Amino acid sequence: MFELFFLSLSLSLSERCEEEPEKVSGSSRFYDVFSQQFKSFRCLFLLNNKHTHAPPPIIYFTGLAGLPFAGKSGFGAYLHHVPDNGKLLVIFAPHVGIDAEGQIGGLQRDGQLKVSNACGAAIGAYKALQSKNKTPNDPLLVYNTLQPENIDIKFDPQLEQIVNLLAPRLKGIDESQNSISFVTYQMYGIIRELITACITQTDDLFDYTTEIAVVGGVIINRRKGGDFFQPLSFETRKRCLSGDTKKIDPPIDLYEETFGVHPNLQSIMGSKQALDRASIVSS
Amino acid sequence: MKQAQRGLIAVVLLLLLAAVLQLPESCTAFVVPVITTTTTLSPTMTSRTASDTSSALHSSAGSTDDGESSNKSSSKSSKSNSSSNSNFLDKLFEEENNKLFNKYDIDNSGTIDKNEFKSVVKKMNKESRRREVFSIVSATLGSIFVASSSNTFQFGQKKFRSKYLEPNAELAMNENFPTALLSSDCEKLIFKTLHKRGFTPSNTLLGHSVCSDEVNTRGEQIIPLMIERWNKKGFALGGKF
Repeated sequence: MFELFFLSLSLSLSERCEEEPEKVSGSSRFYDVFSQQFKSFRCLFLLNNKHTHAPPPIIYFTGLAGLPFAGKSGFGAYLHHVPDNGKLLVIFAPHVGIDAEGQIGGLQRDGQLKVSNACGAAIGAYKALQSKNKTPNDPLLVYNTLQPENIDIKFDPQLEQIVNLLAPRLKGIDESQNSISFVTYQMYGIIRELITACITQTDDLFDYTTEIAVVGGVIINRRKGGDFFQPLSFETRKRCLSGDTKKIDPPIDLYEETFGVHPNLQSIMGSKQALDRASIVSS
Repeated sequence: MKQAQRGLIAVVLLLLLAAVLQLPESCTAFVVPVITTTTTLSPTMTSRTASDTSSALHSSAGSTDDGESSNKSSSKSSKSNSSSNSNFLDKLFEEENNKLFNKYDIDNSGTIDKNEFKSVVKKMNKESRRREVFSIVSATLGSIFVASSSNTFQFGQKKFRSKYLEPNAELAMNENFPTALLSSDCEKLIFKTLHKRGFTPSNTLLGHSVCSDEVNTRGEQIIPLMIERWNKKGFALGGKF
């Protein structure tokens, strides 16, 4: 009984309170039905924390694909808002969906029956490069949902940036285990380089803060079973002990202390060069 | 984790309370017939007291302020009971009725006198107080449960996710993103390391650079969890317009 109660509780949080699209997958059918029994209860008792503790899912019109489009100016503003003698904590990540069939780059969103792309911007950029014959043809079905007008970059400055940054990193994609995983890891590399550039090119960084920690990884969106984060880097930079605020020392790696050994991603990426291009430390 | 356990305990207690709270209803159901029988059989008890008690117990008991009319209605009720003796449920009711009456008729005189009636009233008051205590306790526990719901969810998700996940998606994730952790676990590990280094919600400003996709703002995602942890604030490095 207890187990079933929590099962329902878990399910309720991974789904919305309103009616869901009909799902007919055999094994999950029982749980779906069971979950329905608790619908009114969970609405009343906040089992769905989207309606209580956390904000509801909304789109912020921020950077696409996780790139720090606020740039150095935005980073400067962020730095100047830190509490006196305080610390900065930056987290960055591209995201990728995985649908029920295990297709990387697909995601069934709340209230939708069809599977759509996640991350749409990264896949859109990849598709745009494919249309220019800059990458081998990729027969993955998930791309078919992208219409030609959606990959037209004429009036899409952020996507244009993403395409330009992604293009030189796609070498070796045909040797990878999965093209969308490859693109996602490369997106991670792009964001990491941009964040690092913002930090190292900010001269007055340690005039305002004593330490800056940076966590990087990949967000994995799932319909069921919870959302995941694959950490790929965790480092911190401290104000120089000599007191020279203009000097930025190399970062201190906190990854192994926090998460254990680095993952070995070479077989997934296909080559060491591809890993290096994505700025991924591999064991 | 401690909060998650507290949440779990709160759920258990709520379930137990829900079960226990059924008892007073059944007690009331048995006490009402005792009073009805009392009004029929007891000439020693004042009709005024009987009707007051009866209406306090159950508004639908059919009692009135008038002693005679009370006795009349009781007689009618006993007549109708005797006519439907063949009914099994009525029989059961009668048995229970008699059992309870015998329980409170301590001197076995066949009537319930003033002293015996006192014990009935005491029992009623006790039940009433018990209900009040249960209401307060369940409200308190409910609020604790509500306050720690996020932790309760995270605990439940981790414990039972294997029962409802999609196997193909799980396999694909393990193959392509082998060291992925549940967002809540990852967030806790990050906090643990940073806390040791002197990062606290009051001295730290969070900045995040993730895609604007709404799936990244779901309650169980790492960014909302980190915003919640780090003083409920976060600077969007992706820009905002």
